[in-house]
Amino acid sequence: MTTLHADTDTRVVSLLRVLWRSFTAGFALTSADKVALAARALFFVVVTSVLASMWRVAVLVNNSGSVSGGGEPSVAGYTAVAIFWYIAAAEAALIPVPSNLIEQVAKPIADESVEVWFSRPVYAGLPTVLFRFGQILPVSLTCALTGSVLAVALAGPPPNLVALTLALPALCLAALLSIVMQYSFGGVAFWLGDISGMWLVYHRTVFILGGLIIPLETLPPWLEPVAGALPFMATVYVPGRLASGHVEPTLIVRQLFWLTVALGVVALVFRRGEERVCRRSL
Amino acid sequence: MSAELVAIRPRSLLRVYGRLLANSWYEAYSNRAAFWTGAGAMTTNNVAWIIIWAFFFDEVGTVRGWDGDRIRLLLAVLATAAGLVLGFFNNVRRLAEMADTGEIDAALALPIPTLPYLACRRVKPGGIGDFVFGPVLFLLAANPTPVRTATYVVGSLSGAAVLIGFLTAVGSVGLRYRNDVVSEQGFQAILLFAFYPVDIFGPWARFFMYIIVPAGFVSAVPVRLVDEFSPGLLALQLGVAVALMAVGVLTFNWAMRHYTSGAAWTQA
Repeated sequence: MTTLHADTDTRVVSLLRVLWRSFTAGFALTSADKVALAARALFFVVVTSVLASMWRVAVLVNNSGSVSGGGEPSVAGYTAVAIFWYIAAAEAALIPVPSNLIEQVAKPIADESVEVWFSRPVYAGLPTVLFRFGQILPVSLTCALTGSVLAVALAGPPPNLVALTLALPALCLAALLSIVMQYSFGGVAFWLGDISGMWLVYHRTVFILGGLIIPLETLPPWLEPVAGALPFMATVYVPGRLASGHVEPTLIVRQLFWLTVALGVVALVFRRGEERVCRRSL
Repeated sequence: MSAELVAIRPRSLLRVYGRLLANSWYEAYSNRAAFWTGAGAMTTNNVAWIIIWAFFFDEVGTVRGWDGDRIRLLLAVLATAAGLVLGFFNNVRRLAEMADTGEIDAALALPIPTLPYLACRRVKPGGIGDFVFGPVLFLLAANPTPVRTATYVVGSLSGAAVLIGFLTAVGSVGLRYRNDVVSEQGFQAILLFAFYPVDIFGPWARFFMYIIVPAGFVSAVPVRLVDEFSPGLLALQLGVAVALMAVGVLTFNWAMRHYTSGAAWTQA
C-alpha cells in the first residue's frame, strides 16, 4: 500500500515536472525571439489604437449616449477612458493567442501524425497546452504593458487601480482558457478530419459573444445574458471589464469555472479521439 | 529568357493565365468538402461583421456620417475586392513562403513572366465565399441603382488593385529578406483597417490608413464614390490603384534581383 502511494506520488511529481518544463521551455522560446515579440507588440498597438480610438470618438460624439455619474458622456456605462482600457485589455487577451491555433491542433490529427503523441511515456496533451501557454504568456505580458502605456498616453490613467490589478491574473487565465478551448475545438478533427475554416467561426464567435469589439453591455438585451452565460466571455470580456475600472472579482471565479470545464472537455475529446485512432489502427 | 518572353504575344499570355486560373479553380474545387467549408466560413465571418456593426451603430447612432447602411456598403465593397484578390490571386500573400517551398524556383523555369504566373496559381475557397457575398450584400442592402452599381463595380475593382499591389509589395519585401512576418503583418493590417470607416478617426489615424497602409483606398474611398460620386475622387482612386500596382511589380522585380533559391532540397 505504502509502495503504491509512493509510486503515485512519484508519478504526480514527474508529471508536474514535465508540465513545468514544458511551460518554461515555451516561455524561454518566445522570450528569446525579441524581434517577433516586438512585431506582435507593434501589431497590438496598431489594432488597439484604431479600435479604441473609434470607440472613444463614438462615446464622445454619439447621439444616444448618456451622461455617467461623474458628468462624463458614456455608452452602456463606459466612459471614453474606460472603453479605451477595456479595448486594450481585451485585445491583450486575444492577440497573443495564435488566431489559427485550432487549425494547428487539427492538422496533426487530420494527417494522423498525432499517433506519435500516444506512443510517448507521458501523455503529450497537457504538456503541449502548457508549452503553448508558456509561449503565449510573454506576448500577453508585453501587450499588457504596452497597452497600459498606450491607454495612459492616449486616454488617461486607469479608472480603478484595484480593478486593474485584478485584470492581470484575469489576462493570464483568459490566455490559458483560450488555448484549452481551441484545443477542444481542434480535437473535433478526430471525427471530422478537415476542419479548416472552423477557426474563423470560433474567432468571430469570440468577437461577438466574447465582447472583443463591443462590450457585452452594448449587446441587445436578449443577447447579453446569453453571451454572459457562455465561456467566450471569460477569454476576452473579463480582463477588459476589470481593466475598465469595474471591481468584480467574481468574474475571475467564473474564469476558473470555465477553465475547469474546458480542461474536462479537452481531456474527454482527446481520450475519445485516441480510442478512435487506436480502433482504426487495429 | 527575355528573347523567349518577347516571342510570346500578349494575347497568348492572357490565354495562358486564363487557363492557369481555370486549372487552379478546378484544383481547389476538387476537394468539395474543403471548398464549401472555406467558402461557408468566410460567409459566416462576413455575417459576423454585419452583426457586430449593427450592434455598434444601434448603440451609438450615427458617428461622423457613418451608420449601419453605410457600413453594409463598406462590407459589400470590401468583400468583393478582398474576395477577388484572396480568392483568385491568393499567392500574392505567400511570396516569402513560396521561396522556402521551392514554388518560385519552379515558376522561374517557365517561359512566362513569373509574378502573374505565381498570382494565378492558387485559388482559395474562402476568398470565393467573399467574392460571392459582396455583390449579394450590395444588391440586398445598398440601394443598387444603375449608377451606384457601376460605381460599386469600378470601386471594388480598383480596391482589389490597391490590395493586390500592396500585398505584392509587402510580400516581396518578405521574399527579399526571407521573413514572412512582414508580409503577414502587412496583410493583417490592411485587411483589418479596411473593415473600419476611416472618417471616424482623427487625422493621424487617417494619415496612417490612407498613406502607410492604404486600407482607405480598398474600401472607404470606393464607398464614398458610390454614395457621393465625384470625378476627382474617382481619378484619385484609379491613380492610387495604378501606382500601387506599379509599386508591387517594381518591388517584386527588386526582390527577384536578390533572389537565391531557398528550397528545402532535403525534402526531395
